[in-house]
Amino acid sequence: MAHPKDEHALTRRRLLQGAAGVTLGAGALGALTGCENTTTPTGSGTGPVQSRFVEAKPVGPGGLPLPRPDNAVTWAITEDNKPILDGRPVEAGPLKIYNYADYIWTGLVQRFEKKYSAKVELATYDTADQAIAKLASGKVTFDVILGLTGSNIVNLIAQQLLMPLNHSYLPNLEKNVWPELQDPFYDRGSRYTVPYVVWSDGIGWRNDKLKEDVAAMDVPWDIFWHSQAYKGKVGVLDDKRDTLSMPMQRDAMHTGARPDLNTEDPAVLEKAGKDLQQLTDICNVKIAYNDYQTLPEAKTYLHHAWSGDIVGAAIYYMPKGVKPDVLSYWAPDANGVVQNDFLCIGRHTKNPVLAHNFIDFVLDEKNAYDNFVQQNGYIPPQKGIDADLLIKQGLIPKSLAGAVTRPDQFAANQELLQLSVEGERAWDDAWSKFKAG
Amino acid sequence: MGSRWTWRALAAPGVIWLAVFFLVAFYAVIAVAFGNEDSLSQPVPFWNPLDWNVGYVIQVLKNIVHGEQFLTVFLRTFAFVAIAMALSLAIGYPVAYFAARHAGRWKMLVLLLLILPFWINYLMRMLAWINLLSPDGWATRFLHTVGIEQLFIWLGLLSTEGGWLDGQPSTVILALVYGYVPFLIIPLFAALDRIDQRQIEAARDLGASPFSGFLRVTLPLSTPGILAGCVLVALPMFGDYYTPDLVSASAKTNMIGNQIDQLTRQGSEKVVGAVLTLILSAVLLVLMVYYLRATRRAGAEAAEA
Amino acid sequence: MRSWFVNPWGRPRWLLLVTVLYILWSIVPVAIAIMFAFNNGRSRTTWQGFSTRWFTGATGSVLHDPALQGALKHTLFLAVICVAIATPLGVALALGLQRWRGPGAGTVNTVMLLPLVTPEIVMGVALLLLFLKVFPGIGVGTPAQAIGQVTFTVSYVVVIVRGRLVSVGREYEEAAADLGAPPHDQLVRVLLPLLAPAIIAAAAVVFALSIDDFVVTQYLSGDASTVTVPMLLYSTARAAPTPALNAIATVALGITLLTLAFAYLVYRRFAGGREAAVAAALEV
Repeated sequence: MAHPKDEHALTRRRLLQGAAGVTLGAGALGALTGCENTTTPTGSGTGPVQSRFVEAKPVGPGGLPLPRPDNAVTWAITEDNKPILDGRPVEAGPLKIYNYADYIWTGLVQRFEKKYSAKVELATYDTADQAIAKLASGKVTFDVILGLTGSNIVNLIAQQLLMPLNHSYLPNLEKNVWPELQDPFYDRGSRYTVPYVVWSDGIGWRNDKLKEDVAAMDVPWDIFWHSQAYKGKVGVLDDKRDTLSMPMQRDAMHTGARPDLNTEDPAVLEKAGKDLQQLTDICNVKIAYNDYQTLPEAKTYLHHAWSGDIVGAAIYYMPKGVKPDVLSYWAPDANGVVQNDFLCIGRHTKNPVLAHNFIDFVLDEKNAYDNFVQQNGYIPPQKGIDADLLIKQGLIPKSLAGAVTRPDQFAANQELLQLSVEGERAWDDAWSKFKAG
Repeated sequence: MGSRWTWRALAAPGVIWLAVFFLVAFYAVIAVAFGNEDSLSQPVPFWNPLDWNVGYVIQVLKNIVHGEQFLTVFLRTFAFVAIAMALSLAIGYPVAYFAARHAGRWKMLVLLLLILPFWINYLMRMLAWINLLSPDGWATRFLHTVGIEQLFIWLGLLSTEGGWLDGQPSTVILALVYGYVPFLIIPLFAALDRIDQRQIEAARDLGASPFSGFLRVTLPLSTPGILAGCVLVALPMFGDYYTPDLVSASAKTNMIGNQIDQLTRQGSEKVVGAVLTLILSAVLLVLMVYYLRATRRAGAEAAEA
Repeated sequence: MRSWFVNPWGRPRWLLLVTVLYILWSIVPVAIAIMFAFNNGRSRTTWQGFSTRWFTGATGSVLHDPALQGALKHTLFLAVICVAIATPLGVALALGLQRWRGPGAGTVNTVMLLPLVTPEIVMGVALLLLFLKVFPGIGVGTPAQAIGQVTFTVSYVVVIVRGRLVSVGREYEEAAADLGAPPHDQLVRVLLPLLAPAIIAAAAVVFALSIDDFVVTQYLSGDASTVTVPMLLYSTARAAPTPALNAIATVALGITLLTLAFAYLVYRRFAGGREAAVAAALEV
């Protein structure tokens, strides 16, 4: 839903952007109601009423709670789905991995194959919705699934698609991963998931083309609403969650209030939508996610961007003769979007130990580093990798230090998480109004 | 020669195929449009008409009647298609006329050149223009040099220099014309080709000037061809979404096809996408029925000949 | 000078001018795109010398890039399957429809013509919902793409073959019947060979339509392995791809034109030779 990789594939050498896949309806959760004329989806609602003294919170599919920073959820280990026991022998494979296209370095996969003498088969999906639908259809079993986020976890749990993890096979989790992400609110105890990479939403721009110093502004988001001089060269992301949250953050910065980027309040969404519609007139805003190409090529000068794309742009996409330090990035310190995705294991895997080994392998510091440098562009949450290291090694220029997400950014910022069905609807509505021009 | 059942048996596989993969498919759209969504935001079709849920249809109709985004997009689409169709006619008629009546011994070659765009991938043709109209493209430079760019800016048809691909309705309309005008030229050519020279000669003999002869004989006789060509051009244009997507990344030029595409393939409002598809089909039904009857008439005439 | 414009039997020069300008406008952009497929550098707008690197070069070329190759292979695979199914289906339907007397013929005819006038996005959405809700066992992917393509191309086969059927008429079959040929022979050994030129033309048309199809193929596509050349062109066109994109479009165009040329030659041979032979045989 709000994953940078959704609906496109960041390719490095091949510029294939996968077409947005289609989501398969796996089955209706909850009974079909039938005769009423309604636009309320079946199986929605606000869940069991606690008490008339407590505001009912929106719930997700299957009546499950929606994890929020102030509403951490521990997913139960059920009788029919227990983690594997310690100390089991490793299977022979082959290991089936389900991932976005070009989201893991093939060299890393080969390294794993050599180390464990097992074959690895990579399958790809284009959008998170497509992935979940395929998993839910039960036709194929995947051993390890990468790239899904806290905005999908409820669906995964509700459809019982994941196998709980046995941490005795995952020493690198505690050893290498940022403590802030070892026990996330959307999966207390990391029972089902382990973090893969992290990113933030921010502003990427060409500091050689823009007169303004965006980072020095009081409210840097304002630059979009004052970008008449750059008409036709301004872009926002083609993702309803990330982009609608942008005017929300801007308003919040102006008023000093704390925004809720997972709001379901129609008034807030309407204002955000209207603000975005202004951009169409102000700067003929483009709605795209190829900023990692258009910024280096100066086809756009100012773009709402995912941090990983900007790092990727600096490392791989600069045209000949253009130095990466013409790129700048800014992300808010607080109340912006900072998020991670995760690795998890498919419930009906036939190679659970090998799957655990693969996850542990990815969490190894050298492997994570190589994966990032050779392919990904998105920072792995490793204790040993930070902006200073990357700048020292000349991988990214100083102007992009802000594009390397830091562990302390998670606390003050927000993640784009799963909404209730009505909430999804409200966002879709505001987005479709913006896209209708 | 064989019983009539032989022929029906021969036709059966094709009929069954079309019934299943075309008619049932279309009914699926109706069933989803009158259906609902489950909690995973996946559409759930209601197959039994007695169970139909008109909630989403009412919601979309309300949106249109209250002048919200769907009405805006529909009107914009109508405007684009109407203008593009008029331009196509303005360009296509002289070409078809020349090919039919004045090409002489070059007729075959001209016809070949007119048919050629059909065999070139539509996307490749648009790709060619994206190259040419990019900020440093040949067409951009050419248009700048000969002053057409200034003219367009002055007329308000272009907002910035070199910004042909930045959400300009004029670029989208011209791209639509480029893409679909062959669809108009061929049937128009066929119609003009069929006009009997002798009728024009008769008019001349009765003292009509060449222009008057054209106006009062050729033009009326070519009207069925004009209508057929216009319909053949308008129908695909209405459903087009890839042309605005390619030559303009902006929401300002979104057509109804874009809305349907976005709603059906992404997001949580797939039922609305099905409803819009239904509404679009209903609107186009008039055009489609007209064209089918005209073709059947022509087919029947040919069969009797 | 005046005579140029008012001479009714002459050739008005301005019409010629308009036509020539139109043809140039129509074809030159594509020619330029093809030219840039042979560009020596990465640019698609600045000519940097002639080279075939994007076709056969070591990296990033059609020959060596797995994504481009995969798309090309999948496109051709779908096209072959589509021709293999749509052509017989369409020929049978054309024969049946043309000779069908009695109730239902008109309806079937209308249904057959509908795909020709239905906008592609309507077909795309309809087929998508069909394969998600009615045939979830098939789902999206290659089989769905093949079925979808056949569905909208079969009508073209019917129209083309029927045209020829009408002009051939019943005389040859009746002559063969008079000579004692059983109905089966009349069909297979007399009628079909007479229809051969139209069948070949129809097959060529289906092939070209399938290669160039975008909307239906995209809607029914599953994951990255079901990408075709038009889908590739669409998804990368607005990015900053290399001339490899122009190269693969040129390859696809080349295949289409070669197929059409081949079909035309076969058509000429058949139309010239076979028909005369059959006619001659019947007159004996």
